[in-house]
Parts: sequence; C-alpha cells; structure tokens
Amino acid sequence: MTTLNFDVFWRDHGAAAGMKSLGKEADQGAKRMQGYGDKMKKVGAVAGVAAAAFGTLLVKGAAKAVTAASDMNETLNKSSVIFGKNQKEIAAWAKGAAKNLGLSQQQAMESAASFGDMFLQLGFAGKSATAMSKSVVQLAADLGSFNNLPTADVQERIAAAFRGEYDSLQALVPTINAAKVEQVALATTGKKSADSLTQQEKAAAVLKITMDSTKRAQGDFAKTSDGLANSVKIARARLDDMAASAGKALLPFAGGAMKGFNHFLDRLQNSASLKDSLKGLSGSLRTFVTNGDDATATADGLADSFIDLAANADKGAKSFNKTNSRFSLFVEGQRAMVLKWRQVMLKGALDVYEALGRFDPRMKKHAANIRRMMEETRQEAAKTADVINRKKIVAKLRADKSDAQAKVKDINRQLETTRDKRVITRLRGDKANAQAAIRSINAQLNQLDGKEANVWIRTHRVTYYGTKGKPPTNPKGDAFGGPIRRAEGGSIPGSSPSNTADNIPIMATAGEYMQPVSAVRKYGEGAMNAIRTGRVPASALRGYASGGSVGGGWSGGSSGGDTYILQAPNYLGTPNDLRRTLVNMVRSGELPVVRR
Amino acid sequence: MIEIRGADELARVADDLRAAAASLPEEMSQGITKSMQPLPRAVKASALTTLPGSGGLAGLVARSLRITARQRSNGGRLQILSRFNLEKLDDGSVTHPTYGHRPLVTQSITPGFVSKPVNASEPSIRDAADKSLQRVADKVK
Repeated sequence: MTTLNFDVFWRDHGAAAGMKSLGKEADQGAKRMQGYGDKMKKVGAVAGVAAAAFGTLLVKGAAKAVTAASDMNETLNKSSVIFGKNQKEIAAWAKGAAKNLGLSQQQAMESAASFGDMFLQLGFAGKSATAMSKSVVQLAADLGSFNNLPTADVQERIAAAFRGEYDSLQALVPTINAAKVEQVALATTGKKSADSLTQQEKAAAVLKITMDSTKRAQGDFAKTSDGLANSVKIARARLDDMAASAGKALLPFAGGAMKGFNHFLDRLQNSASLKDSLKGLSGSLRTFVTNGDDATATADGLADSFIDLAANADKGAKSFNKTNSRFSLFVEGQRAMVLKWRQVMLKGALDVYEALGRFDPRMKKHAANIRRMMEETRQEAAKTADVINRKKIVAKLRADKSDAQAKVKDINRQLETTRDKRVITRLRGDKANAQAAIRSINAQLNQLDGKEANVWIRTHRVTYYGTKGKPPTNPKGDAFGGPIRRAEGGSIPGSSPSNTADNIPIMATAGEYMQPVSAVRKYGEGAMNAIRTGRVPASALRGYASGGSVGGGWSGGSSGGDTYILQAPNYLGTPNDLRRTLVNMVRSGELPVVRR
Repeated sequence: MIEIRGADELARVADDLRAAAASLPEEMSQGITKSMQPLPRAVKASALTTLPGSGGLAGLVARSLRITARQRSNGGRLQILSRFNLEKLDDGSVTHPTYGHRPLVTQSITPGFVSKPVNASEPSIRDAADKSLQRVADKVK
C-alpha cells in the first residue's frame, strides 16, 4: 500500500497578526476616546462650540461631511426644479457666497431656492423670481451685517413679510406695515381698491419698501467683511463648504467603506501629534468664537492645523498600508480615501494662506509650499489609482484565464468523442487559439501581477510506503516492506514467492554486493555475516581477490596441485561462483594461465 | 444616512478586526480545501486517460485509488491511497511481469497522472484563497 499526499500550504505574510494588533490598538483607542469625550464635555460651552466645529472636520467629520455633501445634492436638485434653466446662474452666484454673503454654498442655494419657490407661487416669472431671490438673500446678508444679526434670522423676518406678517421685519425696516404695502402696491399697479390687489403685487411692494428703506445697509457685508463678526461668518461658511467638498469626495466610498475610514480617523485622533493639532485647531476656533486675537493670527493657526491634519492623514495612510500590505486592494481603497481627505485638507490650508497673503507676503511662501504638497499628494493619489486599476485588471485577466482554461478542457472532451475530421480540425484550431490566449494572459499577468500575490501557495508531494496511509513506524521499513536500507549490510526480511521474485524494494549504494538466496542458503547467514562484519580473515579468501594466488587443493583448470597466477579481473563473489566462473574461463581460453 | 457613534463604533471595529484575524486561518484553509474537492474525480479520470490501458493497468489503478481532500490548519491535503506504487507511476515508470522475461520488466509511461491534475488546479486554489481573503476584508469594512 502506498500513500501519496499533496499538501497545499498558505501563508498570509502577517496579515492575521497585523489585523489582530490593529484590533488591539483600535480597542485601546476606543477607551481613550471615551475618556477624551468626557473631558471635552467638562470644558464648557465655548470649547463645546470649538469641539463641534473641529468635530466637523475630524472623527465625526466624515459622517457630517457626507451628510453635508448629501444635503448639497438635495439642495441642487431642489434648486434645479425651482429655477429650471436659471439654475446655472444661481449655482455660479452661490460659489462666491462664503466671501460675499458669509453663507456656505449650500446655505445660499437653499435660501435662494426657498425664496424662489415662494415668488413662483406668488406668480412671478422664472427670470424675475431668480433675480429677486438673489437680491433678497444678498439683502439679508447685508442687513445681518449692518445690524449684527445672523443672516438666517434676517431671512426669516423678510420671508414673514412676504407672507403678510410685518412685525418681525419692522425692527429692521420700521416703515413697513400693511397699510404702507397696500399704498405702494396701489401706486405701482394703478389700481383703485386694495381688495383688487393680488398677492404678487403685495410681495413686489414689500420688496420695494424693504429695498428703498435699507439703502444705507446695502453692501455693508462687503464693506465690513474684514471685521471680526463677518470674518467668523466667512470662516464658518468656508468650513461648511469644505465639509461638503470632503463629503463629496467621500460620497463614492460611503456605506461599508465609510466605517473603515472612520476607524482610520479614530486611530489618527489617538496619535500624540494629532492631539496637538486638535489643540491648535480648537484654540483657533475658540478665538473666533470669543473675539480674541486678530483674524490673521487665528487664520494662520487654522491653516497650520490643516497642514498637521494632512500630514497625519498621510502618516496614517502609510502605517495602514504597512500593517495590512497583503490586503492590497482593500488597503489601496482606504489609502485612496485618505489621500482624497488629505487633498481637501490641503485645499483648506491653501485657501487660508491665499487669503492671508493679501496682508502678509510671508504667507505667500506658505501657500507655495502647500501647492507643492498638493502636487505630491496628487501624484501619490494617481499612483494609488493606478495600483487599484492594475489590481482590477489582474482580477479580470485571471477570470479570462479561467474561462480560457475551461474552454480548452471542453475542447479536449469534444476531441475525445468526435470522429469527424472537419470538426476535429476546427476544434484543434479553437484549442490552439485558447492556448495562445492563455499564454498571452500569463505573460500579461507576469508583468502586472509579479510579486503581488496575496497568498503563497506551495504544493508538496510526500510518499509513504506502508499501510493505512501512515508513515512507517520503523524508519528501516522492515515491518512494512518499504524501501529497505542496509547501509551496514544484513538480511532482508519478509517473504517472496520465488528465489528471484524481486518483490522487495531495496535502497542500495554503489559498490555494495548482494548475494542470491541460493548462496545464502548454501553458506548460511552466519557465514554471510562473518564476511560482512570482517570476521573472515582476508588470507582465507586471498585467491578470490584480484591477482591473488590460490592455495593448493583446488583443481581448477589443468593439473591439480600446481600453483596458478590468475590474471582475473577484480571479482568478489561466493567461492563456488568464482570457482565455476574461473574453470569455464580457463577452459575456454579466456583466462591465460601461467605455470610456474 | 450613515450613523457614526465615535468611540462605540471604534470599539465595534476593534471587535471586527480581532474576529477577522481569528477567522482568517479557518477561512483560508476552508476556501483552499473547498477548491480541492474536484481533485479526487480529476485524479481518477487522469488515471484512466494517462496510464496505459493494456493489461488493464489504467482501470486497475483507477479502481484502487482511495482519494480524500481534507482541511488542515495551514491549507489542505489531498491524500491518495493505492496498493500500486503511486510515486513510481506518477514519475513515469511501471514494473510488470511479462511472458518470457525474468521476472519483471520496467517500462516508461506518461508521467504525472496525479501531479498534472493537481498542478492544473493551482489557479483555482489561488482564486479560492484570494476570495477567502476578500471575505475576511469585507468583514472588517
């Protein structure tokens, strides 16, 4: 009985160990985070605002950013439905909203869409509704700036006036009331009775009164945009825009991958250098909120924080990649996300430095550095995209190869059964094509896949001679009839059907000599062992070695009792065999005999 | 809408990672062994088509084969038992009695009746291992 084993081994090259250690780190990180969160709660309201703000960028940032991007998408849809062909005009206007209105792009579009919807329902045409919406949102920003009120609050007061509720707007536009609105509407339309006025006419009157009465406030936001209050509004709007951009970058990865990214950010938050960055960012934002330092220093700190965050994102990406190098496609996906995040962070820093460059030439140098870092990140992102692409191609090639192999197999099956020569010729052609395709795929795979196999597989063949597939318990193999090893000589165990059956495998060494069964039986095992162990003196066998003299008493060739010098070749056998051979050789004249 | 719960979520990811690390060896070995399941049939078929049919050797060997594909801690094992000298047959020689010759002769035959199907299955084994890795990676996501 023989047993043939083919073993397939795999090696993960440390993937399991890497994941285990990542899990451990993540677990410790979770505990630290819980403690960190508790501390933040105790710091108080101002720090809470800062924490919420940098939270937008960090741990919870990814989710909020995706939400912001999602909100942006919804606003775009809404705006597109309301403004129709004028949507592009609104979108272009909203792009500058952070700087011109202190509103994020999404907030500006949302506000414009709400007013636009109202104006359309009141009966205004599309183009008028678009222009009026923009004017009202701009007016709200200016009035907010002029009266130091949040823009959203002013928007709500104006919207109420369009609905016929003038009380809240009267705080900003004291002249507005129901009688004034009717009076202006009658004068504008030429109608005689207030009852005949439409809602549209009244709304137009509200807008006219508001615009006429707020001429001093109009353009105030632009005039005072460098002031602290408006700087805060602009910075917040930019943060929101950035969150939306980041979210847009992350949207394709939302879902399951999002959790992985969040985990990555969680890891980052636990690094010492990142904590310092957070401290810096938190400080900067606190300054914004509490009217502390001048805006330049604050923004500079903010830019530095962005750069630190970007650097940590890069470091994190590298460590993630190193830890799980064998989960290549998965890791590359994570890496691509991190690089996108890094690009967004650097863009944030660049925006801040470019803005500061107007006041301080040194900031332009920082901006140039950021641009260089952005270029490096872009190149790295391109490289990562290339790796991902390459891996996808490899996967496809492997699938193609598998298909081609199946085809060859199918053709072989058909070739076995068919007798039709034409069919055979066609099948052979198909087979050659499929084999050529496999060769081509193999060549491409060698180029692409090279050293990137995820697992190492080795097949290993082991043969056992014995029973029940188990290796022989006796390495000499005696009990199982396996290969017999007799480096020191000795008898062969077991049984054979005849004296020359050759049914037992032997492991032999060149130069050894084996005795036939008949010789062993004739002289006995004792004699064989005596020769094997050197107990028989060489002199006793002298005549059987090369050129040795044979003692008297042996009548071999011609006359007995004579001494012969035998010119025989080297020979070692049983004395009987040797004698027989020599006699035959002397008789046939093959062996020269010299008489002395 | 994705819900992220900071530290709780991180703790869950930590659990996922540890679970994935623990399940990786099992997933790999299981995937590899599953991909080896068609091999017993393939080896028997190969015995019938590769070994010489004269004297009924191919049939005798094919019938004598007892083949199992079993999972091991670091992969899979295809075990083939037979009363014939499989290693010799796989290496391409057969020793047999013939009329008029004393007592046995050794002849060359097509080698690899076992090795060839096993080696041919390597791409599918590799694919299975890749899929196992992907399954584990998906758990972490």
